[in-house]
Amino acid sequence: MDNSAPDSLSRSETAVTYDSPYPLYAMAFSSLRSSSGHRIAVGSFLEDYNNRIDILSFDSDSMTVKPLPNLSFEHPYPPTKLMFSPPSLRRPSSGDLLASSGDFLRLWEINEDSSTVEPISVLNNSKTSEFCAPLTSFDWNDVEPKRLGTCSIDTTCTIWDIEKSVVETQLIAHDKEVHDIAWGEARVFASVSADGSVRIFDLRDKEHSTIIYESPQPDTPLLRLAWNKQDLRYMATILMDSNKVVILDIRSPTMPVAELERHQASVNAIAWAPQSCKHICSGGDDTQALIWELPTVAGPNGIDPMSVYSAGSEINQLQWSSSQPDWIGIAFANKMQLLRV
Amino acid sequence: MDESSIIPAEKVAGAEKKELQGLLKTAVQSVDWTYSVFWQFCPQQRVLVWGNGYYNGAIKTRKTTQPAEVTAEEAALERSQQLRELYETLLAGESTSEARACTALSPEDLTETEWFYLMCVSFSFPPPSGMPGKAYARRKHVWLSGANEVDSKTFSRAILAKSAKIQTVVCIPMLDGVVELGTTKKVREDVEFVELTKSFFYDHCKTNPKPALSEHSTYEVHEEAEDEEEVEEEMTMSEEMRLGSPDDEDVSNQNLHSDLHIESTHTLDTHMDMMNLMEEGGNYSQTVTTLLMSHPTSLLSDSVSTSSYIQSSFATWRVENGKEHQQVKTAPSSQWVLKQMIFRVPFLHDNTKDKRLPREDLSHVVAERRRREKLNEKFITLRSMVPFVTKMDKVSILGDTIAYVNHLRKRVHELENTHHEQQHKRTRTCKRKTSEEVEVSIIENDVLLEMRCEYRDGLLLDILQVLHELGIETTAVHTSVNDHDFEAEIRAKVRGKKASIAEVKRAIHQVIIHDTNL
Amino acid sequence: MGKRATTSVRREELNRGAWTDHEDKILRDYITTHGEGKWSTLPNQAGLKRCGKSCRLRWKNYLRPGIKRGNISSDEEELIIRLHNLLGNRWSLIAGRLPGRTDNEIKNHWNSNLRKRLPKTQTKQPKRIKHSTNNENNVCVIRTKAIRCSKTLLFSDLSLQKKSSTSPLPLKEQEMDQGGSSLMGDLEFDFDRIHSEFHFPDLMDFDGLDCGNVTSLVSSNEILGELVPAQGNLDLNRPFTSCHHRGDDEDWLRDFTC
Repeated sequence: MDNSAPDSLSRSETAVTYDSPYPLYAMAFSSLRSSSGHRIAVGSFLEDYNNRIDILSFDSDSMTVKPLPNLSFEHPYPPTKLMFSPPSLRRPSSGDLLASSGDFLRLWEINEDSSTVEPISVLNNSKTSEFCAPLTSFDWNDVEPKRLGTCSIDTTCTIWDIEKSVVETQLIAHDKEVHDIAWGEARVFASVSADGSVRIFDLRDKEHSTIIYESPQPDTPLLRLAWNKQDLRYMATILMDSNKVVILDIRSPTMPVAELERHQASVNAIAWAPQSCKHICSGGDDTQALIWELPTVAGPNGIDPMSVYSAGSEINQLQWSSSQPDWIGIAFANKMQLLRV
Repeated sequence: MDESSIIPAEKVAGAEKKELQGLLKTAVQSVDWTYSVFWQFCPQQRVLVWGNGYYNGAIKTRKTTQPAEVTAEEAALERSQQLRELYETLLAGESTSEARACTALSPEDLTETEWFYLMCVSFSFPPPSGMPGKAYARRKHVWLSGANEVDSKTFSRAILAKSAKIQTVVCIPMLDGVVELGTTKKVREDVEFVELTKSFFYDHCKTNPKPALSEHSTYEVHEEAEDEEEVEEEMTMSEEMRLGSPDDEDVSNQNLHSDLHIESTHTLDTHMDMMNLMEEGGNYSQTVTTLLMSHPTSLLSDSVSTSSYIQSSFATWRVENGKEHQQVKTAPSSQWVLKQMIFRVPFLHDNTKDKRLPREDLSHVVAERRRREKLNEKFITLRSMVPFVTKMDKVSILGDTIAYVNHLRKRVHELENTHHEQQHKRTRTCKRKTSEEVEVSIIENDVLLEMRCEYRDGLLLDILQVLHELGIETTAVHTSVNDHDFEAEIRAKVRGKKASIAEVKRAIHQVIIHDTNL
Repeated sequence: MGKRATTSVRREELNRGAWTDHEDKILRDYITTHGEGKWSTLPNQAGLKRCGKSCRLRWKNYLRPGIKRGNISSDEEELIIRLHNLLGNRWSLIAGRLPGRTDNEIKNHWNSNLRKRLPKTQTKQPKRIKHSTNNENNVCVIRTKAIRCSKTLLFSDLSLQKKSSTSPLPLKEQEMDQGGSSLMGDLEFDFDRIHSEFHFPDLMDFDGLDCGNVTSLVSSNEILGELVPAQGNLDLNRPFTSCHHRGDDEDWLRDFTC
C-alpha cells in the first residue's frame, strides 16, 4: 500500500514529455540518427491555414527531448500524416526526407548540418484542377521506397513515384472517402474507408480489388489501418465510435481473428511492434495506451492486454519507433510523450 | 519446393528484362536479320503486347557526337532503347522543343526499317489474330516470305512492311509469348533457322529452372494439334500450372482427358466456369501467396520484453483495470481529434478551393456534399420565410410553402375585386365577415399568430386572455385598424403544456364568433 | 514600263483551271527528259501557261511515277490513325509511311473523313502548359472492381478444391449467392440515398457543419431571429405605421400579379 504510490510516481517519471505551444496530432520517428540524437517530427493541429511542423531531438541516454528551432517550419493546414523516409531509400545527400499530407503531398528535406528545411516537392494528383484532392493519410513503401501511396476524400488512392514527382497510378478505390492506406509489399497495399470496408489492391492487377472485411454495422466508417510488417498475414483496423481493435488475417477474409476490447472508450490509434510479430499497441479516449500480445488461441473471456499506461488526456496519436523499438510515442492535448516499453 | 521456385522469378524480374533483350540480340545477330521483338502475352487482357525488342538494321548517319569508346554493339543497343523512348515521347505528345534531350531521336532521323520497328510497339494481337497471335494459338512457328507484297488481311503490318521493304517475317512461340524476327532480305522458310533461334532461348532456360520450361515441354506434346478446343484447354492448363505444382498438373491432365471422353459438353462448360471462378479467386490467392512467400515470418524475438519493472513506463495489466468501468463510454465527443483530422480538416482545404475555383472543378464526392449542404441551407431559409410551418421535415416545408403560395394567390384575387366598386354595400359587409383569417404557427416554443377580422372594442384583450388560458404568454403585439378591419400579428412563448395549432385557431374563432352573436 | 505591262498581260493569260490531258503530257515529257527542279523557269521552257508552283504541285501530287490512285483503304485508314496518334499533323512524315500517298491527300482525307469519326478526346489539341505534374504524366484514373472474397485458395488446397467440386450444383449456388448479394447491396444503397435526401436530421447536420455560404447563414439567422423574443422587442422600436405597411403590401402584391 505504501509502496504503490512511489511506484506510480517513478513510472510516470520514466516517460519523456515535450510540451508544445499548440495541440499536436501527426507524429513521425526518423530512422536516421543525427549528431544530437534521434529525430521526431510533430505536426500542430490548429483548424486554420497556419500550422507548423517541429523537429525534436531525442536522446534516449539522457532521457531528454529538445526542440530544434532552426528546423521548425510552417505547414499549410494541419498535416494529416507525417513520415520520414524509410532506411531503404538511398540518397546522395545526408539529409533526411520528411513527407507530409494535407492539401497536397509535400516532401521536405531536413538537413541538420546546415540547419535548413527545404521543400522538395508539392505533388498534385488532380487532372482537372491546380489543387490536389484533400489527402487523409499516406504510407511510404519501405520495400520500394520511391513508391508512396496516398488516400483521399475523393475516394481514390494515388501511387506516386517520388523520384520523378509524378503519379504512377491512381485508383478509384472505394465508394466513399478513403481514410487510411498501408503497404504490405512492393506492389500490394490495403485501405480503409467511410464505406466500412478494408480492401486489398495488387498493382499487377489494377482493375480488381478484394474486400476482406466490412464493418458489422453497415456503413460504419473504418478510420485507421495498420499492417503487421513482421507478419504480413495480420492487419489491424479501428471503427468509428468503437472501443474495439479488429485484427484481420488476410488468409481468412471477412472474419476477424480477434477483437481487442479492453479500452473503456473509443480507440484513436494503433501501431504494431516493429520487431515483434505478435505485439500491438493501441491508444484511446480513455487516456490509456495498451500493449497487447496476440495469443495463438483466444480465450473465452477475450484477450487482456499485457500492460497499460495512463496519460493525462485522450491519446490521439501513437507511433512505435522502428529505429528505437524500446520507445513508443503518443500525442495527447498539446503534449508528445515518449514511453519506454 | 515448387513454391520456392516462384520467389526467384519475382525477385529477378528486373534482371530478366535485360536477359531477354540479350537473347533477342543474340538471336537476331546470329542470322544478321533486321530486328527482333518479343510479344508478351498479357493474361488479363488476353493479348500479345510488345514486351522487348532489339533493332539490328540500318540507321541514318548520327548527327550527335558520341564517345569514341562506344562499340558498334553498344551503339545498336542504345539505338533500340532510343527508338523505344522516342515512341513513348511521341505517345505522350510532348513538344519536341521542350522534352527532347540532346541525344534523343526525332522522327525525321529514322530510316524506313526503324519506322517499322517503332510502329510495332503500337500493335497488339489477341490470339489467334495477326501473325504473332496465330503462332501463339497454334503453338507453331509462322513464316511469311514476301511480307511487303501481301495484303493487310494476310499481314496486318503489310503497308508498313512495304514502305520499309521488310520482306521476311517469322514468328516463333516460346516462353509466355512469341519471338518475332524480320529482315529486308527475301528468305525462304527454313526449319533449321527456327530451331537455331529456339536453341538460344532453350539453352538459356535450362540453366534457370522455371515453370516456363515445363510449360514448353507440354506445348511440344500438343504441337501438331490444331483443334480449337484443345488449344483453349492448353491455355487453361497453362494458367492452372502457374498456380499449381507439376504434381497437380499430372492429376489435372488426367482429369481433363477423362472429362473429354466421358463427360457431356454441359459438364465440360460447367467445369470451365469453375476454372474461371477459381481463377478469379485465384487473383487474390496469388496476391496472398506472393506476400507470404516474399516476406517470411520474422525470426526475431516474439516477445516484447518490458524493461525492468522500475524503468518501464507501462504497468502490468490487472483484471481490476477492466472492472473499474464496465460500461464503455462512447461519448458524442469520442475520437474527437481523429474525426476532426479525417472528416473536417480535409474540408478546410475545400473552403480554400471554393474561394478560388468554380464548383465544377471540385471532385464529384465533395461537389455532391456541397450540393446537399446548399439544399439544407435553403430549406432552413424557406422554413423561416413561410409563416405557418407545421413540421420540420423537408416534405412538410414544401407542402406548407405550396399552401402559403396558394394563400397569397387567393389574397391577390381578393384585392383585385376590391377595385370593383359596383359591389352592393350589403355584399361588402358579407365579404368582411368572410375575409376574417386566423393563421397560427408554432415552432418549438415560439408562437406566431396572424389574424384579420372585424373590429370591436375589447377584442384585443379578449384574444390575449384566451391565449393566456391556453398557456401562451404574449411577448409582442402589432395591430392596426382600418375602416373596421382589425389586423394583428402576435408573437408569444409557450409556457407549460403546449397547445396545438388547431386548438389555438379554434379558440380565436370562438372569440370572434362570440362577438358576432352578441 | 512597257515590259511591266507585258508581264501583267501574260499573267492574265495563265491557265488557272483544271489541268488538261495535253498539259499533263507536256509536263510529264519535259520532266522525263530534263528531270525535276528549276520550277520557276520550267513553264516557259516546256511551253506551259502555268506558274512554276502549279507545275511542281501537279507533278508531286498527281503525275510522278508511283502515285497510288483511288480511294484510301480501311487498312490505310487504320495506319493513318496510328501514325497521327504519334505524330499529330505532320503529314509529310505520315505520308512517308504509306507508299504512293501524298501528304496533301492524307491531310484532306483526315480532315474530311477521319477526324469526325474519332471521339474528340482523341484528336490532338494544342497543349496548354499547366503547373500540375499529373497532366504531364498522362495517367488515367483506374476504377477498381471490388470482389468480396470469403476464401483463399492456397496451393495446397487447389487439388482438394478440384476433387471436391465435380458436381455443378455448388457452382450455381455460389453464383446465386454472389448475384443476390450484389443486388441487395445496390438496393440498400439506393434506399440510403433516398432516405438521406428527405430525413429531417439533415437540417441538423447543416447546423453542425459550420461551413458553406456565410452570407446565407447570416441571412438565415436574421430571419430566424424574428422568432426570438428579444428580437421581437427590437421590432417594437422600429417605426410602424399601418398606412406604410399597407402600401408596401399592395405594391408588392401588384408586382407579384405582373
